[in-house]
Amino acid sequence: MDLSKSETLTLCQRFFSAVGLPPGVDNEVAELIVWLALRGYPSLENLAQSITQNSRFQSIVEQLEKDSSVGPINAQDIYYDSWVAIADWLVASCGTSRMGKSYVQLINVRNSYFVLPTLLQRSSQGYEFHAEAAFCQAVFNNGHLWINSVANELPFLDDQDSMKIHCAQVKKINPQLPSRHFKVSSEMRFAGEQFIQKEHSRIHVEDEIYWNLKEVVAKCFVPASKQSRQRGAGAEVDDSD
Amino acid sequence: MIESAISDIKQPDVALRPPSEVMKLDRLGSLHPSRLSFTRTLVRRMHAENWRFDPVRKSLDKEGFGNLIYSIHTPSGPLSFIAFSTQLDDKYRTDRVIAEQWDMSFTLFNGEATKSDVERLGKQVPLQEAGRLSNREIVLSRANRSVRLFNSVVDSLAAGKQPSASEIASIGYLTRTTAVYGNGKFGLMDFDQVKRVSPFGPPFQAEMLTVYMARQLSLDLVDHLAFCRGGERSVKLSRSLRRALGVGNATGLGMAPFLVSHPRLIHQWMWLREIAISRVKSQKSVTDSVIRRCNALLDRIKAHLNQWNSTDEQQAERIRVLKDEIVKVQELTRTLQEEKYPWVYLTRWAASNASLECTELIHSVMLELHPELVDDLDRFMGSSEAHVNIDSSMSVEHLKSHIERRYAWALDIDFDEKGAEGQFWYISAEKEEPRLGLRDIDPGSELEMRIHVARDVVELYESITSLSREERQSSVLYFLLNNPQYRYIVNRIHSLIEFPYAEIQENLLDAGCRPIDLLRFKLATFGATRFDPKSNLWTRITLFQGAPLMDELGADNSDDWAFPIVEETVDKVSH
Repeated sequence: MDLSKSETLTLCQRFFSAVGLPPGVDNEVAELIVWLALRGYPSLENLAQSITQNSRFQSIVEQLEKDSSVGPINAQDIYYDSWVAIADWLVASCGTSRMGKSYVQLINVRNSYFVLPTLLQRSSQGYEFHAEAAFCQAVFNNGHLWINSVANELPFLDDQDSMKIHCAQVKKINPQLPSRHFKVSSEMRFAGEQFIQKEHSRIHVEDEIYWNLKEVVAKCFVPASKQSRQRGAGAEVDDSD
Repeated sequence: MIESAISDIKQPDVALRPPSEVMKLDRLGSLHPSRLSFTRTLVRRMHAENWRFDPVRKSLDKEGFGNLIYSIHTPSGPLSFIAFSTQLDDKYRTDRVIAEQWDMSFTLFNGEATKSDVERLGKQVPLQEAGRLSNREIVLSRANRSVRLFNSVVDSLAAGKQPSASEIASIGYLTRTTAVYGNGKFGLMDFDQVKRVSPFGPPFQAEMLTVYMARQLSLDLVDHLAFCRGGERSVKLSRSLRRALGVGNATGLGMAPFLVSHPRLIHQWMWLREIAISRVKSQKSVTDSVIRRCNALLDRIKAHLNQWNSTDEQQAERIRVLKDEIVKVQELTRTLQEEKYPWVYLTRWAASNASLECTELIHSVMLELHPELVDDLDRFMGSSEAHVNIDSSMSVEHLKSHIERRYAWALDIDFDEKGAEGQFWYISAEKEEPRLGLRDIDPGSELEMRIHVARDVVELYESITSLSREERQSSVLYFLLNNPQYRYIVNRIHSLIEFPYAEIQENLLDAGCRPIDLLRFKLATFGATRFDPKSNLWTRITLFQGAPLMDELGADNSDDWAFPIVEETVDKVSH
């Protein structure tokens, strides 16, 4: 089926809300998914796949199935873990770029204090991928970080010096991360908009994928009941004029 | 584009009313439609741009079932309004959003619809939420025939008689819509695409056009059925009665969360309205001509109030008080020319002596009398809710000061008080309908919707004040790193710094909160009249009553239809 941009955004935002992401973060990640999908990347497919394959989502879904309760379990852990989960499934399922490397695009990544270290961690584990976005662009190649922050919360990064400053900031906030994660290489280059594919107006997704996602989204809704139907909306069930 | 153009808006001499006065629920729940309402701006635009409507192409049987297609020609290109009239068993008839069948369903289509388009839409549109639309369709909606009026009007016309004007006055519409969907719902065209490819840049114009066409659809259906039943003996509905009929709407809680999730849009609506009011108040004198028009309008309002019926005791009492107050307002206009800044004088009188209903009605009257000070503002009524990145240079201390200035209303709320969190809003699994629950009584509070701005602000503020002075000097981003649960509310506060009218300054969780006030605020901005609350959670209203018909849009008086009334005299028109 063909989805509109706004219904995809709502779908994804509710999905991430259902799996426990804190308010605001759910929307930011949803925007990321939509941005990818509009450019033809299989982000919705990856997301649906992650429900069963990603341990983080899996545990949340299992928990939801046990007691049907949704909400921040531990906001900070969820926040960080969710980015780890996102990075995992992006890395695990990203397509192949024109350069022949694994290829990932990120959009509206406003909190790169979390995202970049997460991706750096993964890059240090042997992944090789290229991430770029309108707001935050990062390139990984042979364990080196190439980054370009266009309109991020962070200062604009368009040279190696500002890159070093940024990495120092990230390091200061995340002192537990090994220093090698912040290596600024002389080979560093910056991703430009030429990497970003043209945006489509619709998002095509297989029906099964859509309904798999909707199943998780349903965790956001209060089950139907006669009491809710009569009292919650204020009108009579058979209101008619 | 909107932000850059806003600098061109001429600011008034008299100061705007502060948000602390304007953005209160009881005042918002007393608003009346005005020249800036979307029904009015749409009709003005159709008139100014000379939109043309082709005669309807009908394919209906004797029972009125089939399809109707209307072609609309705008400077941006053609549009089609495609409607399907279907049989509805009475046992499935309900105007609740949870219904699954309707008397009629329709869509606003971008371009000229082909036969295959109509065939495709005939399979999907009657399904409404269960169907799938494409990015050729802009709006999806449905309506039911009024049980009280539709058949009665058909019977009269079939018998060669015009229906009772008083009956039409008391009800006001032949059909009632129960949902109007746009912006990408169920596969429809996204609003950002709508703005690019259709004439609908300002918000809700496509939805309002759909409702306007639904009114025409109801008029064409009663004429068709009257002719089928009465043949040569039948008459068409008279022009004056056609114009007196609008479209009904049953509006529930679905509108309320929209107001919280679109704060910049809400700011834009209220800020521009306040600018318009202050521009009028800045007039140092008032002419004879304006006084004459003011009196004529107040006479019309008195008649309008006599035809505004509500079964809701509170609303009925408000109307009764308003009727008395309007008499007093009319007396005051006799000496208005003696006052310097006459509109300041009148609004000050209202603030001290009149109800909120009357005060806000006076504001609508003032705008009606001064189109030259108001109408240039309507093109700015849209806004974008696009994310604004948090300024990395903002310190926590700065954020704290900002909260104290802008959100004092929230900090004044005592959430430990009984009933302060008595209600919660949730989405039901049943058609994803927003509903309201009683905390600790109804299930689902753990899934409550994110519309508790006041509580979020208070929790954020308490967290900030628990920090040391040194910690408060650090960046907000650092604070959020350790407290990501506040990311939404910090971003909201930050993104609304330049939008003082963005927040409804009330605790929407309070047991005493009246959602009906939120609905009235939005509906008045749409241009709705005849508010008839059925509970604190939903209301009946009428749209486009008194609006010019399709073939009257070119007339000079096509913008003069505020506070519509049903004339008792009718003309007879034969088929």
